[in-house]
Amino acid sequence: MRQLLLTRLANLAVLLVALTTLLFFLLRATADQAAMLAGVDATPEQVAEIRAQYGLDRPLWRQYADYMAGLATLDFGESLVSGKPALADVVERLPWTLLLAALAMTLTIVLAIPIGAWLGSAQGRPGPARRAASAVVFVLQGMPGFVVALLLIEIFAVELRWLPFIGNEGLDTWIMPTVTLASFLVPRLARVVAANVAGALAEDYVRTARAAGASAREILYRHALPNALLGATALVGTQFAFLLSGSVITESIFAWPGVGSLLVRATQNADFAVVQAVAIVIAILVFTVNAGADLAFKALDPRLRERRS
Amino acid sequence: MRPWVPGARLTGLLLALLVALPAGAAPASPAPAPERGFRIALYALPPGLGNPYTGTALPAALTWPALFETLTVLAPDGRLEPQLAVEWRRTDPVTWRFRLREGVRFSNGEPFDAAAAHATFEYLQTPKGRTEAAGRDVGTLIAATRVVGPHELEVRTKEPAPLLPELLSVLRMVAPRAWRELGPAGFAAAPVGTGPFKVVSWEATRVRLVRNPLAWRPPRLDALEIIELPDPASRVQALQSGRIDAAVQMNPDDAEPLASAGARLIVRPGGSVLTLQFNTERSQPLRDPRVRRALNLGADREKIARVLFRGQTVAASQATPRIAAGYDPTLRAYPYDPAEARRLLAEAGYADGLDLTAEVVVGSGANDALAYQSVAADLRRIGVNLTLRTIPAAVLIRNVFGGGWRGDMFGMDYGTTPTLDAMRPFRLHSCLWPKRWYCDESLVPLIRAARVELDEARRLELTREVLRRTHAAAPAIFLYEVVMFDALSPRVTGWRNAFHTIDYAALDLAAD
Repeated sequence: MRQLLLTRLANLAVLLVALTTLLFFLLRATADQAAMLAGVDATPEQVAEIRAQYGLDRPLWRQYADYMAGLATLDFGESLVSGKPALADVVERLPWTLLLAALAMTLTIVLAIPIGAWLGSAQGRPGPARRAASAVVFVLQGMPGFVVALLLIEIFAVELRWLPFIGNEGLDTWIMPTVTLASFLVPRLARVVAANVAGALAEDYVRTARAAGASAREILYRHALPNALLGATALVGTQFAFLLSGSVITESIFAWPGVGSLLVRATQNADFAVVQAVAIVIAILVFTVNAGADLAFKALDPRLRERRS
Repeated sequence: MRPWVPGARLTGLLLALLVALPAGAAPASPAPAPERGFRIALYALPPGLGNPYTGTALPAALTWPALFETLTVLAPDGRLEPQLAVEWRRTDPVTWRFRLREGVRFSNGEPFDAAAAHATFEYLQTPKGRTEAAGRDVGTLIAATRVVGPHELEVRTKEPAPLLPELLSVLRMVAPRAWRELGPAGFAAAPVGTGPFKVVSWEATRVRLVRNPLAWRPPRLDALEIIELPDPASRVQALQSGRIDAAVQMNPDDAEPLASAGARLIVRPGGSVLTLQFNTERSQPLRDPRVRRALNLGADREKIARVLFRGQTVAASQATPRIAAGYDPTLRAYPYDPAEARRLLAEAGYADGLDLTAEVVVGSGANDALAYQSVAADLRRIGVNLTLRTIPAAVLIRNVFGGGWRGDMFGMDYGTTPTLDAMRPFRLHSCLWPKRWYCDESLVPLIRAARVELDEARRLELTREVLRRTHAAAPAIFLYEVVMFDALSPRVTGWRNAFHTIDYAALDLAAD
């Protein structure tokens, strides 16, 4: 386990260096921060003055070296737009993005596992209800998040007027962003669970259990589903990155004060320090969750434990 | 085999977990907006928060009038009106005297007087102030300011500045003591101005404000919330659901969905003309005026105005909108004449057509993407294959200052605000711009003379001469006069938005 953790940490370090380097140069290749700050009405002299003021006129390699040295002391730089430390902005908003992600993940698990289990337990003889449910899951998987968001708002805020949808103003404003984000994952997870359950039900150990007189519910609940969930555990980990990328759209539509909307705004304003801080923090989070899922996968699957020993 | 359905206990447990998780992490729900509160949704809050030196244009211009005021202010019809200055006069070619309004106080109790105004101007002379957005025009133009009396300020400019009072309509007056004590970052979080409202909290996607009890123009409302809602469809839905009272930067197509909720869409001039600007420095075919004229004749601008904007704007006849000083009513828009366009192209040696590329930023104005596509479709009929390449605004700005264009033309407006002066965009769209894309040397003396001409009639004549020559030379496809759409719930009264400056003091909500 210790060796695995060390390997993961080394991977994370390499990933972060690669990411920061790529981002640093890519951002500067696509936008001129001084010109963005000055605006199109400025004179070239004013842009040059801004460049000198913020050290943007120094050689790029020197700016990069200073940036990396700052990162080593957790100094992510300062937003040239708001004047605030870039990391402070991210830290202020991150809990709300994580909250949304956690809620969406919980809702995904609550919905997708039973749906998947039900769909997968048909054993090749799906009735009309299962066929309809499969079709709905299939369609939902292809539906973009912003369409789901706008539909939800149209139904529950505009027509029925049951729910508010702007910002983070209490529990009722959490519902639609959560459902929107979960809509990314529920169909995926449900299909994986369904396929895994169907596969597990065809295994020898299920036939043995059935021959021993186990009930259908017992077979599914005690034998097939736990095995089916092993594959799903890995999916949940990898889908965390999808959740965070989905938050960019979801947060913009719902005016949710998370890092997704911060990233959109920072990108539009060529606020490089903030873009970089958001990207690094998200990368660490995704990596951590994926590594956690890997570890959980190994802990849950006795075959992997045995292989290691 | 009987299908397995999750047991009620398990479902209940998971649902309880779902509810308990947020409840544990939840902040105390903020109190609902007071009864006399107003909610407005913007596509973005000011990136520089409450530091009014960091911007003069969109999106900041929409928020700051709630907090700050200026010496002068533009009315919706383009007239200049007094705000913190009650009158002004020129005492010599480079000196202006402003008499300031008496009895005005900032929201922290500091008096607004000539010394306070002087401090704002003085900051723009500092190295940091010179690079602020607010210093772009004013800071570089001002030589010095002097307090003549408690409420009289003298402003000296480096060269004759006939439009200084108009320029000052975007310079917001800042409480000097608060600025000194809080510093730029502190002030940005807790701004202090003379405006009708003051900040309660500046949050990630919303600003909460309450009535400024010291305001000389007391607002009719008790509270104001300015919400960042970047998605245009969300802004429509927010109005339809009654969650907000007003929204800006809407589209003409929003009229029907808004009308179904009783909301209304109102149109206002944007003070600019959208163009597809030719880059004659880069594009060989576009150096030929016959080709440039052919492209103007081949684009059906009337259709864009009539169909895409439902007749709420007009095809641009020249490089400036009707509301700007210097507009020449005798100039006519190039007619849509594909036959003549083809003839001109053939005469220029392009009888078989030509391929061109336009770099465009889309989404910054109502239906701009559709307008560009409409032009591309029209030009195809005269044998011009126009490829539209979408670029981010950041790339456009980088190219403006650094060159690096990759197309034959690019989408850009000829903006006249805040001076509403037709000559303003020619600083960019002429030989005067170091990284120029179009240059007609014969216009330079006229542009320079108009900029400092104090005699208004003469200045307007110089301006019209530039516009006439530009019309003939066709350095761009002048598409249409930019218009902006605001959406209001049926209860809103007193709405006044002049060139992005919303009069928050006049805003009110009628009783249900």
